[in-house]
Amino acid sequence: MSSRNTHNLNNSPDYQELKKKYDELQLRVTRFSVIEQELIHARNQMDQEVMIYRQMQQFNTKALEDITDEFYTRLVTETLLEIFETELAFVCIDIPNTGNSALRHVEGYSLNEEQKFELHLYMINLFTDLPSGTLRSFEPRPSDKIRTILPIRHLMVTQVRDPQLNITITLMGGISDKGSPFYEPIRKDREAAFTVFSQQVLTYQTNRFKTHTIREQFNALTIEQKRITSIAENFLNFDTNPDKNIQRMVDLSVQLLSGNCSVYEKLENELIFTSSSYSKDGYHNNTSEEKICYRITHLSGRDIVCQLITNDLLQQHKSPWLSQFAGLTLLGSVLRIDKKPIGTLVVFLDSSVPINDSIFQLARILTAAIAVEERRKNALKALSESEEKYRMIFEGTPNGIIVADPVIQRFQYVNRSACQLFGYNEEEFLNLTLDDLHPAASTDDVKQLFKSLEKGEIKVAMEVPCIHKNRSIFYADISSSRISIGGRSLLAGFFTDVTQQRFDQQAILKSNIELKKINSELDNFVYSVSHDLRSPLLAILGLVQLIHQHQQSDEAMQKYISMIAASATRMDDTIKEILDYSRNARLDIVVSPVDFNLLIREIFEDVRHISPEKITLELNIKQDIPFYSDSNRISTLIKNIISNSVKYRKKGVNNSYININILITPEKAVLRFEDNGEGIEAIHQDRIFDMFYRASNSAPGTGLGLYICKEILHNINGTITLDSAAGEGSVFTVTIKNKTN
Amino acid sequence: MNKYMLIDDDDFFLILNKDILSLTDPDAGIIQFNSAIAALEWMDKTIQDQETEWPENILLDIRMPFMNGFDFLERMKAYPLHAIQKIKVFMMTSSLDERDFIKAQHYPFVYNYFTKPLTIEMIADIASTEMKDWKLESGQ
Repeated sequence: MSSRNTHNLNNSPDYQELKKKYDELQLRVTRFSVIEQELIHARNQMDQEVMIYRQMQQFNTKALEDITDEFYTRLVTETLLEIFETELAFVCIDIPNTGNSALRHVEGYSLNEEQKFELHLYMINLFTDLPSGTLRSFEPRPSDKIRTILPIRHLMVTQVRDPQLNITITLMGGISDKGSPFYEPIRKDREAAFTVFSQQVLTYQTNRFKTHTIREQFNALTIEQKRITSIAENFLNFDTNPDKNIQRMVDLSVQLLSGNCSVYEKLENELIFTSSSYSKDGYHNNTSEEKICYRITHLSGRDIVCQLITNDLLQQHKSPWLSQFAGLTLLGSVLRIDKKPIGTLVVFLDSSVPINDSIFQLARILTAAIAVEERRKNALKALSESEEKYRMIFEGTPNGIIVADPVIQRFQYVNRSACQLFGYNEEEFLNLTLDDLHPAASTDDVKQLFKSLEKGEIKVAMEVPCIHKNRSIFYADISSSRISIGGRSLLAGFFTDVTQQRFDQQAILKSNIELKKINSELDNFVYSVSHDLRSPLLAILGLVQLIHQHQQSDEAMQKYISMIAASATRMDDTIKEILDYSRNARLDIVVSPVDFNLLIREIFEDVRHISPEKITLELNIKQDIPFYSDSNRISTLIKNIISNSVKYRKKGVNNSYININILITPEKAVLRFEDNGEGIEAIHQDRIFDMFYRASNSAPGTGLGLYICKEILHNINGTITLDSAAGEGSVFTVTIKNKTN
Repeated sequence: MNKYMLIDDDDFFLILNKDILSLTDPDAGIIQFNSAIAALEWMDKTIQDQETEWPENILLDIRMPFMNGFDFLERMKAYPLHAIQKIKVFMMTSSLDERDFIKAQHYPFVYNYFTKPLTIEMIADIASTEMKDWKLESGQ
């Protein structure tokens, strides 16, 4: 039906019309197709642009993350390949102060570090004198140097710089020789995006750099803080042992000065301190440089240091100095005490340590710190010596020393002698108070004494009573002085036990008194005896002188001669009495039964003839048991009493008597002698027993008789009393111990 | 006429002193006491109206009971100065003790110090001893 219709249609005017319209339509369709294609192309381009920026956006997101430099450079190159559809990508980031370690990365081809470096140099040369952001796109000639590094046919490269931070970014994208089937040269329209991207990389890089710098600074600060803390701790944590501190300073010097090792050498006693990392073994760190340090320190270091110190020039170094030895840098610092050099601190510095003021400053501080310790060491030594000295004195002295705090009223220290003196151990002693040391009765006096001591009114408190732990009393001389211990003002008391001296002194005083008495008695005795012995003799001389006179009558002669005889008798009597006295004083007591009856009757017979007048004796003895005592002494005693009765009888009367009553008991004998003689006046009665005391001049006598009686009774345990009235008579009552056993 | 007072507790010495004095100086006036107390009693008694009876020489024993020679000298000081200025005291002693001798020198009216017995030479000495002009020093 169609062909029939065609024939029909070809000639129809409609056909022509229709054909014309069809052609027009055809043309329009074609036109539309071109527009459509253009539209499609534009859309594709748009899509690509969107893609590029989306990829850039992705890059941005990733770049913002905390990534390493390596990852960052790879990210950059990968993004280059993806966005710009190149086969090769290269990034190179120059950061100041990093030298060779600039960041370089190649993607799409394998290059070694050296090749990367050469590529880097090539890139830098491309942009010499060109402004930042310049883009170059070209096909290198076959002879171009880059073709020896990379098989590159076409490349697009740009370089951007941050003038402030001096960071340079070089980006390159390239097409290789391989000739990929989809090869097309890098399109012009990508150039803008390339430049934008390179700016973007630069921005991120500067951010990264700043972040990195800040972080590094922060880390550095943290390290510095730790270092300072460590120094502070080292300086603060002082040991009591100065040597340990010195060793620490030496170790610290290595740490602080970043040295390899250090040596502190003392001039006088050859003591070496070395930093601890080398004091144990030299192979701590096995680098050759450190081995040298070890060798120097341990084998020849001492000599070097000695040489350094003994060198007059170096001794004049006021400040730390640097010196070279065996290719090593030594930092030396002379240690001085009172301007006199005593040693040297030498630190072997690491070659990388920057030489600046701070290391000298540190060396100075370390040296000063060691000097302080050396000083302390000397002081400690002196202190311990003087402590030892004082301890020896404190503990060694026989004097008791008690140190008290007057404020808190407690004892602080006591020495061994004080403990012995009072009988307490040290612990007990320190819990005592003053009241425990002195009797309650004398505490107030003692406190007063201490006050006087403190004021300096007295130097020694004499014979202060003290209580021993066993409650016995002893006496001490106490002196005191103020002492200062640990800023407290204390009172030290020095106790000397004078109990024995006091006892001895009292004994001496007593015996002195006795000696004085004896001496005075002896003196008196000699005086009296010489008088009593001489008197009759001198009388005889006088009488002889008279006899020599020619005109004497016979009567006178007879008188003188009888007087001479009487004088001689007197003298003899005196001598006898002295002998009696002496016998009593000297002879031992001989105890035997005493026959009073016989004794008294014999004595009475001997003495009755003194009296021309009659004298009667009445004797009554009551005795059931024998009486024992010293017969000779008792005989002398009774003779003296009876002869006194006879001598001092009433003269010219015939009724004189002596009544003697004796009572013997197992304990004693009581003898009562009663006479009716002239008696003794009351004023003499107290003294009649004194040596040479004479109460009457009515008969010759020495004044020894009753004295001898008293002395005898003293020796044979007896007493004598007197009851007498002048003109009436006397009664002597004698009591004598019966020495039956 | 020289007047003598003899004071001695020993009767023998009174006898022999009196005898030797009488032998040497038959005109001598002698008054004797066997105790210093008795001598003082006599002096007290006679000082009022019989001071002229007072002897110019006293021979004084030192060692006597109750009151010795020095006690007597002390008591003498109580008499008026003009009375004792006319007396020469001579100490008579059997003692050899130097202290007595020194003590005796403190009394201005003690003229000499003799050791017993009294001899003819001593009597001559006593007779030729000039009276001194003295005053009691204050405090004595």
